[in-house]
Amino acid sequence: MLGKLIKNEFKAVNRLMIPLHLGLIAITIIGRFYLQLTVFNNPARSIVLSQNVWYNVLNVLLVFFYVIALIAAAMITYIYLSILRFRKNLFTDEGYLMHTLPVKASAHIWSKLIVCFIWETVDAILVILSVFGLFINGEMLRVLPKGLTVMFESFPDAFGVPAGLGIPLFLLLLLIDAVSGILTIYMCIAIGHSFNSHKILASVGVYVGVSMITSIISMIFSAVTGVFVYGNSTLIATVSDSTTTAAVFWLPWIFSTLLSLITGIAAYLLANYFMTRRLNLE
Amino acid sequence: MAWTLDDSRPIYLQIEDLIKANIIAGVYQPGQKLPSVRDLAAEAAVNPNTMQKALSELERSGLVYTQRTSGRFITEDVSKMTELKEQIAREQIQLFLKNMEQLGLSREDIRRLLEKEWKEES
Amino acid sequence: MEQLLNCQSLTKRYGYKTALDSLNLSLERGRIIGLLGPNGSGKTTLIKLINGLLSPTSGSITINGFEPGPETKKIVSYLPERTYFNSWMKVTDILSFFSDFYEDFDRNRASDMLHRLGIDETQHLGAMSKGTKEKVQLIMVMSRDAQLYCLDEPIGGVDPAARDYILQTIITNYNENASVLISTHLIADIENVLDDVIFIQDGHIRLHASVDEIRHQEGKSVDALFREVFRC
Repeated sequence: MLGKLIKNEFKAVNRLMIPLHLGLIAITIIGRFYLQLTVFNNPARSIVLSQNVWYNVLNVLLVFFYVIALIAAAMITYIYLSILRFRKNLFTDEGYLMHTLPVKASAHIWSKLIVCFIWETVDAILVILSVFGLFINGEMLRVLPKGLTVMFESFPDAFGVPAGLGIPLFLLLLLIDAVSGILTIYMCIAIGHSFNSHKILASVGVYVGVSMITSIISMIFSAVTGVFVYGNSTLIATVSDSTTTAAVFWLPWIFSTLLSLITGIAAYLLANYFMTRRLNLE
Repeated sequence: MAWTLDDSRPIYLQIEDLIKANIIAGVYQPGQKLPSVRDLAAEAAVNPNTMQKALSELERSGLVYTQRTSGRFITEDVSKMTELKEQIAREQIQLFLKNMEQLGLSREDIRRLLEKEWKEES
Repeated sequence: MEQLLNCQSLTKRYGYKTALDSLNLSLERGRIIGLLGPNGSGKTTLIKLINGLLSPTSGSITINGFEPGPETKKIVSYLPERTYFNSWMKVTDILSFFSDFYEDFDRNRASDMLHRLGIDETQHLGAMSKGTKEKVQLIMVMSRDAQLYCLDEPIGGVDPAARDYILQTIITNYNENASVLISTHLIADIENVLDDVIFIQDGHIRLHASVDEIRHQEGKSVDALFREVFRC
C-alpha cells in the first residue's frame, strides 16, 4: 500500500514540481547562452560593453532575477511539499478520501515524507548544478581540483577531523536534520488540526513552541560547552582558532545528531498518534 | 416510473395489491415469468426486502409460484384467478354497500337504483 | 456472524458542545437504513465516527468487531457530503485510484454506470457540473462490494431526476450481506427504499424501528411521524 500511496503522491506533486524544475533548467540554459555570447566567448567585446551603463544595469537585473528564481524554486518546493500538500491532502476535503483508504496513518506519513525528501533533494542538486552550469568555464575547471585539495587539506585544521570523515558525517547530519524538520512540520499540522477551531493558528503555535524548546536546549548546550550547534535548520559551523581539536567536531555533531534524531522520532510518533487517535476532520 | 404508493399502509401490502390488480387486469398473463426481485424493486422504486416480502405473500396465497432455478411465475391455475377476482369483487361490493348505507338507502332502494342504471346503460 | 455495527455509550463532544450523547446502536446486515434527524442532530458526526474521521470522546464503536482502522475501511464505503476529488483529475485517474486502494472495487461496474450516464472517462473533474461530480463520486462509492455503505446526505441539493438515479443505484446494488446507512432530512423522498429508520435528535436516538412497524402501528408514513416527533 505504501508503494501505491507514493505512486499517487508523485502523480499529484509532479504536476507542479516537474514544470517548476524544468523552468529552473531553462533559466540556467538561457543564462548560460547569454553569458557565453557576451562574456566568455568575447572578452574584448565584454570590456567594451562594460563601459555601457545600460548593459551593466541589465546584468544586475538579470543576476537579481536569477537569484530570485533560484530562491523561489527552493521555497516553493519546500513550502508546497512539506506544508501545503500535507495539509491539503490530509486535513481538508481531500482528507475525507485519504483517511478512508484502508491504510495506516503511518503509511500516509511515510509516503509524504519520502516524496517530499526526494523532491527536496532533487531541488537542492538542481540548484547547485544550475549555479555551476551558469558560471563554470575552462579556467574554473582547471583550478577546481587544486582548490578542492586545499580545502580537504585545511579541513582538519578548521574542524578537527579529516575531510574524509567530516564531510560524510556532516552530510549525514544534514540528511537527518532535513527529515526531522519535515516530520516536525507534519507533527505541528497533525496536532494543530486536532483542535476544533483555529486549526492553522494552532499548527503555527505548536511550531513556534517546538522551535523555542529546541533552541533553548541548543542554547543551554552552547552555554555549557562553549561550542555552537549544527543542525536544526540553522547549521552554524564552528570555525575556531588553531587549537581546534577533534572534540570541537564531535561534541556538537553528536549533540546535533541526537537532538535531530530525538526531535524527528518524537515528531513521527506524535504525528502518527494524532492522525490515528485524534483525527478531527470537519 | 415509480409505482404510486400512499402513506398510510405498509408498503409491502400496497405492492401486493398493485401486483394483484395487474394480474387481474392481464398486465401479467397466467404463466408469465416475473422480473427479478431486484428489477421489480428498481421499477417500483422500493426496497428489495419489501418487494421480497410482497412476493412471498403472493406466493403464500398461491397467485405466484417459484421454480427453483428459473424464477417466479404467475400462476396458471385459473381457479386461483377466479378466486382472486371474486375476492376483490366482494371487497368492492362490501365497500359499496357500506357507502350506500351511510346515505341511508335500504337494500330495496339500492336494487331499484342499480336496475335503473343498467337499463339506461343498455 | 458479527454484528455489522455496534456502538456502546458512544459520546462525541466538540469542546463544550455534545454532538452524540451516550449512544447505543447496532445494525444488522442486509438492511437499508435511514438515519433521520434535523440539521445538527449528530447524523454526520455518527457517520464520521464510523469512518474514523473523528475519534470518540468516550464509549466504543465497532464495525464487524473492529474499531475503525484499516481493517474496517476495507469494508466500509463512504460518501461524504462534500466532493473530495481534485479538479485536475480525470475520471480514469479516479478509477485507477479506487482500483489501487480498494480490493473490492469493481471497475467494470463503475465504467458501466458512468457509460450509462454518458460521462466520458477522459473528462476532467474540473470541467463537470457539481451534480455530475456528485454522481461520479456516488458511482465510485457504490461500485465497491462493501459491507457497509455510509451515504451522508446523498440526495440533498440534487434535482429530482438525479435523486431518482441515486435511489435506483442504491436499490440495484443492494445485496443481503451489506447494509446501507443513508443520512438525510428529506424523508419523503427515500421512505420507500428504507427497511429501517433511526430518528436522531440532539445526539440521542429517539426511535429505531422498521418502516413497516411504523406504518402498522401508527397508520402513517415515516415522514408524517417525523414531522410529529420533530415539530418545531
